[in-house]
Amino acid sequence: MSAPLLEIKDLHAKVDGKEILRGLNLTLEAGQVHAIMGPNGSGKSTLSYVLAGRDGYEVTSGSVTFKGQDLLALATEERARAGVFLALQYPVEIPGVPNATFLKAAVNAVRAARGESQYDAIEFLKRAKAKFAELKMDPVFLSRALNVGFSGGEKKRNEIFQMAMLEPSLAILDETDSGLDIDALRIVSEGVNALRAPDRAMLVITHYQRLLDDIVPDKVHVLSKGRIVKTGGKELALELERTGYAGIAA
Amino acid sequence: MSGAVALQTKPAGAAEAYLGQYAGLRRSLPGADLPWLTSLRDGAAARFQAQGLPTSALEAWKFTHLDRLSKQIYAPGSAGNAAVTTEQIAHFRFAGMCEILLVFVDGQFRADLSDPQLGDAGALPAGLTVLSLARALAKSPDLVRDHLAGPEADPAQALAALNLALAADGAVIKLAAGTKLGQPLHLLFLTSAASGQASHLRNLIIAEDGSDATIVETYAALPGAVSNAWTNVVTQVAVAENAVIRHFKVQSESLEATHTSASGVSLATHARYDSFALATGAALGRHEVRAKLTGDHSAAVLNGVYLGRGRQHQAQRTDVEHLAQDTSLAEIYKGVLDGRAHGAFLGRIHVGHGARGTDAQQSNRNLLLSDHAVADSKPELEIYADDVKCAHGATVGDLEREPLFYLKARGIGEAEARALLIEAFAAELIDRIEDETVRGHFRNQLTHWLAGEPL
Ligand SMILES: Nc1ncnc2c1ncn2[C@@H]1O[C@H](COP(=O)(O)OP(=O)(O)OP(=O)(O)O)[C@@H](O)[C@H]1O
Ligand SMILES: [Mg+2]
Repeated sequence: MSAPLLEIKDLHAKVDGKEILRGLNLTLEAGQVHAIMGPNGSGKSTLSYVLAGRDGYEVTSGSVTFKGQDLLALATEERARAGVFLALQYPVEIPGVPNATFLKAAVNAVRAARGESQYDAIEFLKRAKAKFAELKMDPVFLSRALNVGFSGGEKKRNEIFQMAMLEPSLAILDETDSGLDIDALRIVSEGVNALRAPDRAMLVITHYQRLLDDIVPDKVHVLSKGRIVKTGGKELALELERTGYAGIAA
Repeated sequence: MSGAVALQTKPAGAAEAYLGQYAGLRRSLPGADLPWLTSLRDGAAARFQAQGLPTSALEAWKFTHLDRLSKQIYAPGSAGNAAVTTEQIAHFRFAGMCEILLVFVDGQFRADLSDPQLGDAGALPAGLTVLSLARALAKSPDLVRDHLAGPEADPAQALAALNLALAADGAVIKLAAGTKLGQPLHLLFLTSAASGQASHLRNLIIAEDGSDATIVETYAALPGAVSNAWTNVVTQVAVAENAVIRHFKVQSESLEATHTSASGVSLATHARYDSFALATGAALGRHEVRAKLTGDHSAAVLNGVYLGRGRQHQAQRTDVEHLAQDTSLAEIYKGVLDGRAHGAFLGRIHVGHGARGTDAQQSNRNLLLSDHAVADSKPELEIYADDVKCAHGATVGDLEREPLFYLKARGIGEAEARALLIEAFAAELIDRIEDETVRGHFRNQLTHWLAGEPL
């Protein structure tokens, strides 16, 4: 059996001097989708930031291996270029940077790292517009400043749009389903499913089993107080919906 | 005392030297044959004599030191015939050369470089009068007489007094009632490589009832010229009832130069003044806007971006007086400072008795790109009316970490991410400019500055 795409071993991480991740283990094989559930404050977003390489998240011990290399040794942008994508729980608004300008820079940086050709403005716009249409986004949001004046749901769809354009091998979706209406949820699920491939994997952080009806996970993990405390199949999400975390997340 | 260039050490001595220039030029300045003007100029010179060069002890000049103007005495130019090519002018023009262009070199109007239709009043859009100040004083002094503001008692306005005494040229623009200009007017003020040259420019913009125009002022050195010049400008803008003036300024003077400018704006009922000033040039640059909202429902937008690196000093001062009901101010100034640059922002808001319904919003944000760059910010609020909304805020700091993380998390490298965010910080205001060609012009200036290229 080939090496897993992502292997997290005994990961400990601090934020502002406070230990949030406390011995987290998780193995994700290529081609799989895992869901992570868990109470508020259990460390789900922290895990996603540690994987993406955000400043201020200090790994004190443990390891993360991605495609056989030490992920923690890479700078934030190098991780993205190596194929890690994080759809943020709260996408950032950046006045003055048009959505298209931002994503063209990103796509070309990632393509350059993969040894692929650069998109010129026309090629990029053609592809971006097509993806935008698939995600039922109004094309005005391409020229608007990044996430500025986007509704909550539009911001989330914009994250999925970025993911589709960047074609990552590891996508981490941090509550991308929160705040979406039913149609948007379906659009997002379709976007995610379209990207499923044998050489890719996904970590889907969610509070709702609803999303997991559309994006059927191979495994469901429960994160509590910085550790995975239970792992099961997709039926675990249904069980959690009935019972809550009492009993599991001690 | 003679007006000859002499090294001075004391500011008082410098003021005497500048007065000496007036004494020498008094009989030859444009309009010297007009008694009302000569008495206005004499009064201004007397004011300047009493006031002297402004010092940083004055509130309005806090953080700014004008030593440069006393270490060297800058003398008004004589020739005004510097060789300039149309290619050099083309460098500054808007895309499609769509604007009505007036060119001034070393403080003097150059008909040979300006839009040919200016020579023929009939060829200009109906309702528009455009003249150089020197020509207006010679041909139709009544056009300017009621609009030339006299000197003020305020010592902070001493450079405006000196300007009035010595002003030899400038642009006079008048929009007759109801005139709506479809193309921007572009006033281009260039300096040649001559050293120690002073240009005292006085511009008048008179917008009668219901008129509407976009006016851009550009101050720069001729391409390739390094010019240790002093440009001292006063632009007076009278916006009558229901008129709209969009006023843009680019100060991209030579990095050796000194630039001081003051715009005095008056707004009548329902008048709108929408302004944006970009400062990238000069060793010492100071831009001042004083707006008096004297008509009910008048509105001013005062936006600006100042960029500095090396040892540049960029000062901005705004002074807005709300003197009628339901007037509004929206003001955002942003500084980007690198190297050992020093940025200063002074924003006064005065809400007079009875100016109820005033809505004034002021913000000053500074991005420091180096540990040695400095930004000073000082709001000043005086509120004498009830039922007023007044807010101000100032920030000084490095780029925010969250946006930087977001860009890097998408694969964009540190340097490119920073560049994008710095550009965005400044471009946010530029992108509010409605006129596409003007907006493009300002975006270009910004891009050049960010790339460290000469403008
Ligand atoms: N910058 C910070 N400084 C201090 N504590 C922090 C910081 N960021 C996160 N935390 C704490 O870390 C813990 C985990 O936060 P995290 O955002 O990872 O939770 P989460 O599982 O994503 O929660 P939610 O379901 O609400 O999104 C929380 O107790 C939170 O308060
Ligand atoms: Mg979270």
